[in-house]
Amino acid sequence: MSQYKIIFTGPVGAGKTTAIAALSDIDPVSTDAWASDETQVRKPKTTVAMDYGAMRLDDGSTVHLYGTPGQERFDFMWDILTEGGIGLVLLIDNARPDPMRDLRFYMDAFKRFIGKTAVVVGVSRRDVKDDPPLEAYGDQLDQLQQSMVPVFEVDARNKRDISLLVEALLSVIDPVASV
Amino acid sequence: MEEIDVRRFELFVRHVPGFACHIVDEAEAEVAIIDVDHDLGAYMVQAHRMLFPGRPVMQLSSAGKFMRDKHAVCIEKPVTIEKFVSALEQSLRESDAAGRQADVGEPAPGHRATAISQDSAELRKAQFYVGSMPDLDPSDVAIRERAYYQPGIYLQGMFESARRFARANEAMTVLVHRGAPILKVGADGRSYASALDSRSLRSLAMIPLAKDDVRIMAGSVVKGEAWRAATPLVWDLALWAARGRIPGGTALDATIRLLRWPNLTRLALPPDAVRIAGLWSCRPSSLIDTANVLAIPQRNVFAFFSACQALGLLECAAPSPKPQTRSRESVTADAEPQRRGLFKRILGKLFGMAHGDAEPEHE
Repeated sequence: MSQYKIIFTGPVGAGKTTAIAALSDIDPVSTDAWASDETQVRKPKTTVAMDYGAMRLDDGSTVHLYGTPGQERFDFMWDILTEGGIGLVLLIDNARPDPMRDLRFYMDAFKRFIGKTAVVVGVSRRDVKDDPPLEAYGDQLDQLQQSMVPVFEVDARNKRDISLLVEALLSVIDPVASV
Repeated sequence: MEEIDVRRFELFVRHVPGFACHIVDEAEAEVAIIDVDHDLGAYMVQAHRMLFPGRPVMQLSSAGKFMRDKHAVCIEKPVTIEKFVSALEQSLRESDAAGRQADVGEPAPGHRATAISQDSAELRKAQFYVGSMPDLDPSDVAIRERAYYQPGIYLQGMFESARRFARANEAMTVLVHRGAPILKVGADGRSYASALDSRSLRSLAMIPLAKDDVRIMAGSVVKGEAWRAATPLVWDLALWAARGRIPGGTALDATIRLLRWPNLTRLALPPDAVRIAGLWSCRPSSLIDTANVLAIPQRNVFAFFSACQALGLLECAAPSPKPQTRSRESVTADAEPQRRGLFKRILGKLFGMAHGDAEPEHE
């Protein structure tokens, strides 16, 4: 059976593990460990290798959902994880100290993959901190010459939000293909 | 209607003898009940008629303000059980006569099964945003005029005027309709407050308003008012006024490009919005081409255009001197058939068959 994958990335605590759980048909596999570094401040356990979930489609094929580890020191894994991926879902935690820096960092880190596929940005935790506003992400993406990237406010626990992000990702890659 | 009034009314209808009545979402109802003595009663009846043309409407009034048409069932207040039962029987005969009963199996004794299937309820929800206008032949000048509406005569345009007034005067602004304040706009034009519920606002937004009925003036903040971001309301007002049409003056063959994606997880989602946005963000297209390429009704494209236009998210380039209509085949020729099927299956998995009708809670 055919195998496909969608990659979820973003900083620690942005909701990658939760977003994958929202879509997955299997119990998501998380390689969480007790954080021993500054990550402790954000969440006591964090993903140190990757998250994994799977969506089983009606023709028997599987879409694998991979979440990258949030800590930047694991970035050596990102190229491996993205190999053959359909596209990238970038989750940014609006409550972190500098979400614009996070956006720039991940857009740059995955530049090659994004160039070959597409990216959508989900901004989480706006209920905790509503500044910067969503427009600031659009402005930042303009500066990165990525104006056409969809940016949605999301609650990673909400399946509809994450599904819409994925739909936008597919629509950007090929709006006609989903007919 | 206030929540407590809904609960009281629910208690009342549950005890109507011989019927199993429930208050349901308006898209699923067999019969609507509208108090036409309400300030906006006439608007509510008209708006309901636009959304659900064949549905019987029980109109309640003590002042004889009934808006009679062939689907009106009038009840003089006070409403007694006997009057209600009689009106309900008449309404249900209307409903049956209109051939709206779906095959949902035998109802239990004493229970009337709902006549509205889930699918038709979904279709009706989609119609909230796009109406039911059939596709137009763009070469027929007379017919294509039907695609247009004038935002300025709807609440959409008046709210926009109030926002401009607020910004120009740096003052909290009130939009008054027939002497009653219906919307307040913050001094920066980015927030609003309203005492009206979303259904009343929708009723007002769907019907052209007489200019003399509306006034815009400086106001003041009242303690306890709930202020909300204006963006979702601007979006909704455009969808409700447009109902599958486009603002007057829009060239059907202009090339549309999306400048920014709307925040679709927090806005009402008209049918096919995500796919249209995807197309306009990577392959700017005319309105007619968009409908052709995506194989969707023009009204879905027009509705999304009107809402995006209201938020300033679009760029319309002048039509090319030699317009070439793109077909679906010309655009999809290079698409990978395998990928096409995959995307369809993923979306089917995520949303099921019905999609593009959900309304997020932003009010």
